[in-house]
Amino acid sequence: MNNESRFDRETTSENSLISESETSNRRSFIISIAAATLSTSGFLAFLASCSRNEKESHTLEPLPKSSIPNSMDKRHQIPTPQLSPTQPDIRKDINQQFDPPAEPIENRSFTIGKMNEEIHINHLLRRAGFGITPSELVYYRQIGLEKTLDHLVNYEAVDNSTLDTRLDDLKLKPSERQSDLRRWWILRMIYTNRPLEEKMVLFWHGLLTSGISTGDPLSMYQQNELFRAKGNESYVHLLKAISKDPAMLVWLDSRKNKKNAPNENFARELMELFTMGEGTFEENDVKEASRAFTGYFLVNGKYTFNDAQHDFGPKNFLSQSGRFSGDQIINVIFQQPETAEYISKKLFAFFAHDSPDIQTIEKLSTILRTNDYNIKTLMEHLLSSEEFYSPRAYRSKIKTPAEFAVGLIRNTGAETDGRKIANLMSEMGQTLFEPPDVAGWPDGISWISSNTLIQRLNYVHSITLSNLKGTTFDPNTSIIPTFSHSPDGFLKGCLETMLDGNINPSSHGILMTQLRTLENLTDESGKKVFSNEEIKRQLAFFVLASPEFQLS
Amino acid sequence: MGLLDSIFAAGIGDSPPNKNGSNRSLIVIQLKGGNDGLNTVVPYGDGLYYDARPELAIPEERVLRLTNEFGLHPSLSEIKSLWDQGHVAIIQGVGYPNQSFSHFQSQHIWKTADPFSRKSDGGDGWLGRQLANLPSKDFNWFKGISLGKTYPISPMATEELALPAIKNLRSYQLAGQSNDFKSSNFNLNILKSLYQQSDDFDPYTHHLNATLQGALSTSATLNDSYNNYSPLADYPAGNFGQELKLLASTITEKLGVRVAHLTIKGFDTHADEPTRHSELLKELSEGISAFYQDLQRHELDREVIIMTWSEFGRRVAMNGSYGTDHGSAAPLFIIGTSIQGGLYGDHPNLGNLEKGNLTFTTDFRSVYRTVLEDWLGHSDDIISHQPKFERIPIFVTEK
Repeated sequence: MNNESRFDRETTSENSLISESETSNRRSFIISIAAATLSTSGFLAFLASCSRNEKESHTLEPLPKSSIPNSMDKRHQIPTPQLSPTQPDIRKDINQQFDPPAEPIENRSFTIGKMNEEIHINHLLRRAGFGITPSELVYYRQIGLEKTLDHLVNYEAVDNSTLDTRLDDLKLKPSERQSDLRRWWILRMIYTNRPLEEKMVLFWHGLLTSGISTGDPLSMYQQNELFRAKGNESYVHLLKAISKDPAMLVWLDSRKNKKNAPNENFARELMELFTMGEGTFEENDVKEASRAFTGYFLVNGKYTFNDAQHDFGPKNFLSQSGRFSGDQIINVIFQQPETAEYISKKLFAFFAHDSPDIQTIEKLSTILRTNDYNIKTLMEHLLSSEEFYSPRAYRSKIKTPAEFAVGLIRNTGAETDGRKIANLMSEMGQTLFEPPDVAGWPDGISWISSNTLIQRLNYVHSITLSNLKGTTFDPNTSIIPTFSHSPDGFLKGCLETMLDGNINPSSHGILMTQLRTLENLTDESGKKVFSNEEIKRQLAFFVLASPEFQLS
Repeated sequence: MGLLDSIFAAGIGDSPPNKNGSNRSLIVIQLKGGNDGLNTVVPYGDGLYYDARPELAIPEERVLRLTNEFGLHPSLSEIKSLWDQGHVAIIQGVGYPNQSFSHFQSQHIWKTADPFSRKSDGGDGWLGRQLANLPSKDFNWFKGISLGKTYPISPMATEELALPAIKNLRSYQLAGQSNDFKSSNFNLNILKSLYQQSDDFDPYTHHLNATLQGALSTSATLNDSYNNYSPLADYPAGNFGQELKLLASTITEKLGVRVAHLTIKGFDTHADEPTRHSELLKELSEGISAFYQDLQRHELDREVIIMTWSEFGRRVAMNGSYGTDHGSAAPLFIIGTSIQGGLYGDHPNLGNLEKGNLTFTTDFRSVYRTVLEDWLGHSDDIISHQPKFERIPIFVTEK
């Protein structure tokens, strides 16, 4: 085969590294062929032929709804959800909302498959959790979106003992070793049966920030458990608890907050970052509030109130006067209208998108104010709202490193003991328990810089095409077991699980072309160059490395 | 995609050195957290300094004297040597009107050069926007780089461009690809095509595509350049020192870096300031000294200046945790062979504080204007047309 002349004619500047073809090296052969197929004219021709063939089938074939795999891996077992005894009215709204929309969603004319319940389920699992596992996908599609939502939101009813067993077996010491602490939490995110519980912990960790570098694993471990225990209850209680949390006291330099020279750090961040937001208070309010938090001491790692150091005098805070204690300052803060708005916006931005309507925030704020700032109540509304499932929310976020790293394991059905993942997440820009500063992690586009994007791609590579210690990805047994074990079926399974079955036709064409190329490649003796497993690994790589997969 | 297309048509290399500024580099270092300027450039000759913070003030005998009135914190011994050689300009009392005491707002203000903004994210950084506004034929991927972990508060960040952000060399290489193309694990062209095909379909896909292209364009070059480079100084071991070393390699290997940004974290010394501040200043001093020496020995020191900044200074009086709370004005350093060493501007009056804070005497926009116009030969839409931001005569006049 006269490959060389074909290359010479069709090489672009990027392909100029290929100077000779060595047919003895099968990898070079395949790459040369693939590169040639992607030269401009060849690629366009392929694309044209792909489009012609794909024209009627812009939807991926829907999964057979009635097939649950016989041997569901234990780790993905989903206990029968126990529906809560009271049925809130929101359920009616959900049913009405989720008939497939009459017209295509704006900007989505390119997608395969309209926004529909299946896509909503994947979206919900990504936002209210860390992504869907292959067996969850089968199961949740069977029970439908409404029941899935119920199962996620009422997580206290869900048995999590398989997670506990898994963690016990690994004998980790999260309260004693930093690396164990991170690994412990990452494994929780991956293998919990209560995804929303862990997602809420991540939310609080990013909002009520503390860092391990000024504390020790024990206090950060305890703070993490505090978020797990109280993260779904009244925000007032959580905040009062956080004001006395040892890790927080250390992080905001309030170990010894003394009467005659109060430390302003906690008081400022309490208002600016945790409750009301910038510009809603005066410098004087910071000074007065700091007086109320004097006497908060840390002794032997435990919070103590040192009343000799407390300023019992009268304070003027946010136009109210009184001999406020720290808790009472918090009460005054919750009386301000800004507080409910601020926390609503934070939750909405984290779970839905960055530009809520004023009415949406008003609605959520009212829910908070009339329910003692109960977070679970708010989340029920948020996760069943029209806005949450709107095009503005769909794929509108960049996955944080936690969502990316954990989500990949979940989506692929990989098995891991978690040992390397925390470090790789740090390389992507997020070190758990070490937010860059007290504002937590900046969201959105800042996650993607040249360095961090390379790291994300390298993570994908390490799991699909290389060997990441402690993690096993077996393409023959992962992904959706009900699909045929052919590479075609495998690709479909990947696209359904990882990309909601929702990818633009050109990109789909690229993947299909690559699949055929890899499949059809034979050496001189007519033997196939790539095994099915190798082909599947490459496909998994491209889907997980794709730009769509970077998005939540 | 016009800008990106033309970017990739352009090669990597300098435009011919026939214009003022075209071979010069500006290195900007943020002292993140709010540097305590009073203990950095110490007004040891002013009794009020010792009255105001008796437990925190640097004792007179430990100060590294610059003049009869001012000296440096004892950790800054290397910077003191550079001062003795006449290469250090210290701009006193730098700040801005309508001080914000929030890290995020104040960083944003310094980033965008807009003191009346009360936002804390978005917008274009004063450094990044110089690059975004370059005609495309003058652009190359190394013109503006950030080293270390970076966040959108950096003055390099712009909404349009995805400038390279390099944590370290090791993490800046794409796995599964080798220089020997044939040993690669996957076809990179497929990956590139996927990013290109999705560009603009979803909110972030354009940025993703731009970032990927930037990463691929710079990764191999950076690696090769570092391998060719020979350091001619000993860099301190920590992140800052190693980032400066990597930066030095891009300059000695002439990748065309015009603007670079680095950060040292930890200056938010609300508690236990003396030890922490001392360590941080030492890190700064040792790093800058090694970098400068390296450039000198490569005979490139005339073409580089280093500038520090911080989002604010600190409160004059100590707080109850043996530290200081957020403050206002502070001095900054500009260092280089082309710099006329000395103290510039007026030290804020310690007898005339505003709610415990210093009053600024030099607007930071004057500093920006000085380095942009007199060093890089750029004029910036926002800063340059306001005559009140007078430029500061810190440069050695050409002979």
